[in-house]
Amino acid sequence: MKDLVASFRGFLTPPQSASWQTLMLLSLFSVFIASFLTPIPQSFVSFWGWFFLITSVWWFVYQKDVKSALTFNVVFSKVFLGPWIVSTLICVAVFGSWVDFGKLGSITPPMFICIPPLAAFIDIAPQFIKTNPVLKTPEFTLPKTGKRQGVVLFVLSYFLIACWIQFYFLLQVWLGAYPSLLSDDFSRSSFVVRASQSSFQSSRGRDVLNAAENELRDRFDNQTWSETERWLFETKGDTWVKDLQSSVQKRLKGKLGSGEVELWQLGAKVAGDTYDSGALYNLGLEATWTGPSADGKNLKVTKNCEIIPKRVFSRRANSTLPDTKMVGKLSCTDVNEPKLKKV
Amino acid sequence: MPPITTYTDVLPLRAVAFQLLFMFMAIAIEAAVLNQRLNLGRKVSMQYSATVNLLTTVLGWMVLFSIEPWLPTPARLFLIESVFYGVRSIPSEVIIAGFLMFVMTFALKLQGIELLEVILEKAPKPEAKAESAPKFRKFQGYQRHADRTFGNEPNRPLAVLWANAFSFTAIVMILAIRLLVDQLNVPS
Repeated sequence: MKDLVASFRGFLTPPQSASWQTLMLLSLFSVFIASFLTPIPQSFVSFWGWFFLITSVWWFVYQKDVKSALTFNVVFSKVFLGPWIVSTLICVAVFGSWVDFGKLGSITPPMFICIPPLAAFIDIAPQFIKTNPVLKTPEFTLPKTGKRQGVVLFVLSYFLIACWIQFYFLLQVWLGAYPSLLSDDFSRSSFVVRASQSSFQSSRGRDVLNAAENELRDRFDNQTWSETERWLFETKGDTWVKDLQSSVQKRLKGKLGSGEVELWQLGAKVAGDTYDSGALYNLGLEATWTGPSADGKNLKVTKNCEIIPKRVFSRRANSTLPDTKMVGKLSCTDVNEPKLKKV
Repeated sequence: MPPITTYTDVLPLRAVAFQLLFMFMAIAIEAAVLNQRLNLGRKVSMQYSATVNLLTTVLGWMVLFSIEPWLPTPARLFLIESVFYGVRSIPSEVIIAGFLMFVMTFALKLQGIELLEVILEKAPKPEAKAESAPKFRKFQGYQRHADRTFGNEPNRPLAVLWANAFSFTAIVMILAIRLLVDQLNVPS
């Protein structure tokens, strides 16, 4: 343990005043100071903490032995991981700071998308700098003509990586808007794979049918039996189904994915008691998925309900006899869903 | 772009693999065509074709990302279905889009090569016309006309057009094979 502390100390002790260790200690010092401060000066000090950390790491990864340890052979050329580390730190600092300084509250997709281009610019930056021979100060220069082709290819390929990362986030946006996509099989896709089976989810048809059941129950409780019968049988051309669908959509607005509700087609059929179960009417609910699917067939989810007339009593204040009225009582089975095929 | 509510383990790894495959193929084919038609030398034509192909790929992605929020819902649903579940049908809009892509990539590649030469500070070669003065005066008119159209004089737009056509053909053939094999395998 003592050895560990000693070696750590030896690692961080600056060999001379201009070294990465100095910057790292400054960064640690800033963090230490920032922990004592109130929010506004804290954000100022933590900015300097990030600044010293980034410059220190930048310096560190460009040391000869570190650089050779961080350089790997990839197909065509050597890739140096140092700029990736520095660029990640910068992106975390900048994007984390926009919302709450230094607290990493907003690690967002743009942060990840910015990492590769920034890494490319950090990587090629030394080629744009030369030392002024007289003043010994850095000076802007263009890379040598022989090296420019390599720089162009390098920057473009890092931008391509950023595009792939953004494509991942586009997929997440789609899956967030249409979560039922996750219930189907991606094996024929030429774009995506599932890394594991854990992202399999059942479709949202269950939520749609449960919302329809609740909607019907609320409606039947609030109207008399005869009104219920009239609504079910005497509206023209099954407009009550459309009625039901629009109120279900209103009920689910913003609860499922943003685009999902419109893609569920609700069907309902009411019939006399065919199963001889003592109920007066049987009501079949069916939700059909009209969105994208793997096999081109529409997934159908069903639910069966019974409607029984029931007398309910309620006592008003100051009255001796209770009020009675007939309402429809709804009882439903659980949702029937075709088995998920896990591929 | 609505906010992202879920992060899943659905990764675009197949897209990356296919993209790399198609890009390497296109780079190899176009380098061969450019080398043959423009006499650039193997290395330079490889570099040119790699650069313009990377450029068109990156800009193509960016175009997709910028037009996706403005797509009408049926088009977006078709796109989603093709991305997640594979292509089952090819409506005529896709063919039109493919044709537009061909034209746009051709223009972009031509511009890209010119831009690359500006960056590399390669001066355009002086016209070597004076050297090849016609020897036989009596065929002059015919000869000059023939030279300009079919002669050995490098014609860059034509070369880029051919290169683009070859690489698109190869990619479309592979896509067609994939589609056909896929349809044969589907149990009905």
